Amino acid sequence: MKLSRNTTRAAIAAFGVAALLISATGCDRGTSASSSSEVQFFLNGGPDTPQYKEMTDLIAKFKAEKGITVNMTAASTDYEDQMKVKLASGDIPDVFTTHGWSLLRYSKFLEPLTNRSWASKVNPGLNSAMRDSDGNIYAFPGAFDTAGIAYNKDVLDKAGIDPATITTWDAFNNAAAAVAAKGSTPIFSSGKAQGPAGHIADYLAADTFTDSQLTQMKQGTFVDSAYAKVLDRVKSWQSKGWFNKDYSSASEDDMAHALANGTAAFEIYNNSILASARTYNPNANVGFIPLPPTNGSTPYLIGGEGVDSFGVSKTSKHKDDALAFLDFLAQPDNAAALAEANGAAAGLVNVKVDFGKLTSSFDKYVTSGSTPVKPYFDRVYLPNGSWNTMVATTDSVISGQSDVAGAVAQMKNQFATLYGQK
Amino acid sequence: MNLMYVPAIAMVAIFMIYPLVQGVGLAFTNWDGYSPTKAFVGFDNFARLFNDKTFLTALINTLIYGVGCTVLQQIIGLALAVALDGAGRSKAFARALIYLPVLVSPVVMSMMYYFLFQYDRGALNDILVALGFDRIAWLSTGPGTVTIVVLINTLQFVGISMVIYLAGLQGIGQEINEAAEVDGARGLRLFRSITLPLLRPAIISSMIINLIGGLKLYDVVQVLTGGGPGYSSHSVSTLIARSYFGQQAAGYASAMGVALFVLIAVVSIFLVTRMDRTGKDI
Repeated sequence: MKLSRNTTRAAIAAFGVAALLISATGCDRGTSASSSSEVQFFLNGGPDTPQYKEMTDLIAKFKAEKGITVNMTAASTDYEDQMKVKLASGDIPDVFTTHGWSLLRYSKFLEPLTNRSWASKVNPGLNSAMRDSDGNIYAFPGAFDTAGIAYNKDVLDKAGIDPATITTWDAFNNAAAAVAAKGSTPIFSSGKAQGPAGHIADYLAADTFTDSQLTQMKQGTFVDSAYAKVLDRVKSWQSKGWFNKDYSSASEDDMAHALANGTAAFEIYNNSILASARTYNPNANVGFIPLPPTNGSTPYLIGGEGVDSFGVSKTSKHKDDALAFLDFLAQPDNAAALAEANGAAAGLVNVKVDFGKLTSSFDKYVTSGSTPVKPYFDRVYLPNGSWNTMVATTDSVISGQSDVAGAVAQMKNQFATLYGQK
Repeated sequence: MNLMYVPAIAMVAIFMIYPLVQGVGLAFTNWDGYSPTKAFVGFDNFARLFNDKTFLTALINTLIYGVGCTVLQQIIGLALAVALDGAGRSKAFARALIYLPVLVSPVVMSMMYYFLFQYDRGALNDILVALGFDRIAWLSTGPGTVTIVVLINTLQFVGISMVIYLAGLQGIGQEINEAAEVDGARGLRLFRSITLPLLRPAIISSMIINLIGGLKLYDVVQVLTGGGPGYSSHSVSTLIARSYFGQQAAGYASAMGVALFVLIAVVSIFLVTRMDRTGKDI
């Protein structure tokens, strides 16, 4: 078919109009897109999570007190992807969850909150993760995320293991063997959730690298020998058949069920899994212990900015209302309720949290301050964007799809690529 | 001037050409997917594709999904069409039943299959346990998962092939079959020498639709395993999403997208050309 000259002109004109329309819509890039009078709030947590339920109550209370409407949108497993699309398109919510990345990923999009009344009460343990070199903070820490090894005490009791005695990896391995001998699953994790496997490597790596190796990592040299040690440990557990048989198809929900129902002994994951387990079984006899040391001499916890941390877009059209909302969340009672829903310690030092059945674990290891807290390895020593590869490579070792050398090589390659982008 | 073209051209320009051009442009940058800035890196992303074992795995899987599903859908779809050709309530009911999964969202269908293949609380394993067998971790190996994905996608979309072949069969005049029978062709010989050659346009149409669907496969893989265990069941489409968002390599993911686009374009052009020639032959 041959187009006439007029038709060709019309086509060019239409193309031009389309290009103009697209350009015009793109002009708003970087500006908070919400034009209604409501504060738009994007939460990293599905509607079935304890955090969502607690936040719903707090938003209603905020509305009653201040008369400001907060429109909360819940995301679940795809929160990070959705948030990146919002940032790229300029459709940035007034308030959004920073889930551990307020400084490294989101700070250039966020309003500094250093002058808020609660900012001086942020737990000093969060300074390295949440404050920049000038001391600025960009999010309200709804939780001080601390994590170690979650356990079900009933399963350990049956195997004759006292969790408090697990202070070395040898003791952990002996406990896992005893649990396996009793027919329970020693270590439960999830390949399908695309996260828990990464937590295992992340937590182990925090104490596997020497100081000089950590310096090399920070300077852009991937120390594959140390990372191989991390995955060697994972591989040894996999070889002994200590992971759950349904590892590849198990979901995060299955992890919570396994702890709640006493079918698994250990989960190397953040403490939110304990809160989830208790929603399935309020009487679940669960707790957590610090991770045994590899290089150091004392067991340690992993900690940092929790999932329930929130920042305000610096281009928000409702900045005052959004800031008022964060100030409201930071009030001790409200902050305590949020932390309890998350099963985590509070991010502010003036907030007292009731941990329920987890109180003994928190008192012993967190509140007492006796256990050193190490930062998430990937947030400090790996370039932004490495997490997914960390998950997939550890996953491939646990599922037997890759050997340690192959997984380490893949991490090294991703490290070099992302470091080159910095 | 025919202004009737304008809305269609504008729509195509906004929703197809603009994203395509943007996507190709991104493939030459190191954009992380959300930052306001990006740097031009030339052909680096395309060069990286050739050395990326993960991409190679995903590419092989994509070809398996594309070709495997297509072959199975042709065989099963044709067999069903031949069996269910003709009038009758039971045949009409069976045809509707087989076509029904096509109308279901692939995400919903994949979730249903996930519940079927789950280790704990999965229907298949519950049946095995009831029969006295051990549970099987169906989704624990790469080859096993890829096979299951092929089967799920085949079973969901076999109805499309069946309908295309039914239309093809009904387009073959009765007089041709009668003439062949007069010449002594019956049963398998009639099918092989008369029916099958006359179905060539339907075969090519069905193959193109199934092949493109298979090569772009995303939903089933994402819902069932998320590309795991490891990277072993990724298709190029799921790997693009993983690289773009998870690994913050939007530029590299765009290069994968361009590679997938070229692959599908080459296959489609080849098949369309074949169809055109076949049509002329007939």
